[in-house]
Amino acid sequence: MNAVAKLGLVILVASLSALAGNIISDLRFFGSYSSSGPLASGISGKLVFLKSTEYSISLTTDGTVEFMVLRLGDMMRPDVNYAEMALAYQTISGGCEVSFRPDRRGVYALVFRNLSDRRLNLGYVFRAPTSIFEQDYLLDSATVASAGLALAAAGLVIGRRQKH
Amino acid sequence: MGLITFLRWEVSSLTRPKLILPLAAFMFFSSYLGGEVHGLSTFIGGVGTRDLITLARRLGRMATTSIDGTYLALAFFSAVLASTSIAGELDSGILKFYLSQPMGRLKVFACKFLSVYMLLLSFGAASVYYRMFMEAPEDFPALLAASPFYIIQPLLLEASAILFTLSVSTYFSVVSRRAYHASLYSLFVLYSFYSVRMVSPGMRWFLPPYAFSIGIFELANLTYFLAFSLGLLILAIYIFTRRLEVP
Repeated sequence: MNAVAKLGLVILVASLSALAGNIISDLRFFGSYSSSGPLASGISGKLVFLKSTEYSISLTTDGTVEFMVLRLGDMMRPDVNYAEMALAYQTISGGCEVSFRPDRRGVYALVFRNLSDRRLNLGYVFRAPTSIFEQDYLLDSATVASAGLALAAAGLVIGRRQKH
Repeated sequence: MGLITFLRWEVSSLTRPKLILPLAAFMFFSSYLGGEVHGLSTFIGGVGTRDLITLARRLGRMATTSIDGTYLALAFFSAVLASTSIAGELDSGILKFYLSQPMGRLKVFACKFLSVYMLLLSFGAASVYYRMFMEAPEDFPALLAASPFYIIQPLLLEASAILFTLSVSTYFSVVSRRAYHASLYSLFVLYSFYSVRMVSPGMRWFLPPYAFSIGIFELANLTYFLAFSLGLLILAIYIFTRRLEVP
């Protein structure tokens, strides 16, 4: 077997094994985070690695706060209207619960914007499902595995031609 | 036979599908048995380079805990590959043929050790970095650019962990006359370090594989096991080049 075919087979096996490992590790995914404290005027928030599953966050405040969920890339862009780019957007007075589902796994920003000039109190409970199945990971793994399969097939064809 | 030719020969004998496919399967699967990226990090005003460095540190930390997941696979493949490459060839008589070539024993040993080490390191590093990349595929380049140190750190710790498992396996391969004896002794010793956590969970922080997965935080432990690995390797070189009788 030539080097191209070997490389293709290794990529195929590696991507499928990683997919199996990911499915197993997702069974012990974290449950929830909670926090409460003062919220200064303007924008602040939390950065978190999320997966493509349903999340919910319960928020309580003694004023009016805008809550948004943004991708890290969108958050880093200059001169962007955050409300337009947000995956989830809610203006909160008192308390409410927001649910959202990222399309793809990655780093997301949970953004809190204090609309008043004074310091507010903000409390939140951020919940994730205890076990999940990542559809986007499955699709990415299938893409990598297909590339490996194509490479292995090409390697085998090249190998046969070289023999003849 | 030249050094490069011999190294190529060793590498081609190790990269047979029946060896590299199980290696890929075990390493990539077990890299997910370490930790997850947990926690929320705070930013105020907007997201800056400092926040990206914090994220890179958390991603790098997750990757270093993957070394804990891959440890048993590393121990198993180090034991099998080292014993096949050295004790197995001594047992079958192939080593006698190699040593009859106009090439020093040290070069033969170096080729054998390096070929196994490079194979394990390439699969170990690929599995850890594949996992890191797949955790946040679109944000990974930004995190790498913000803090290359935290992204490269898992590679250094993986290299240290492989040096440890392979030096133990190489030592037993050199002192044992039979391949299966060498495999069994290596696996027993490497698994003993792993199994301490079941008896005394607090001790695990001071022993492999945790000593490698938290390396940068416990530099003294990491240094101790690196010195131990190098000492064992030097002893194995000494036995192979000076003491080993090849029937």
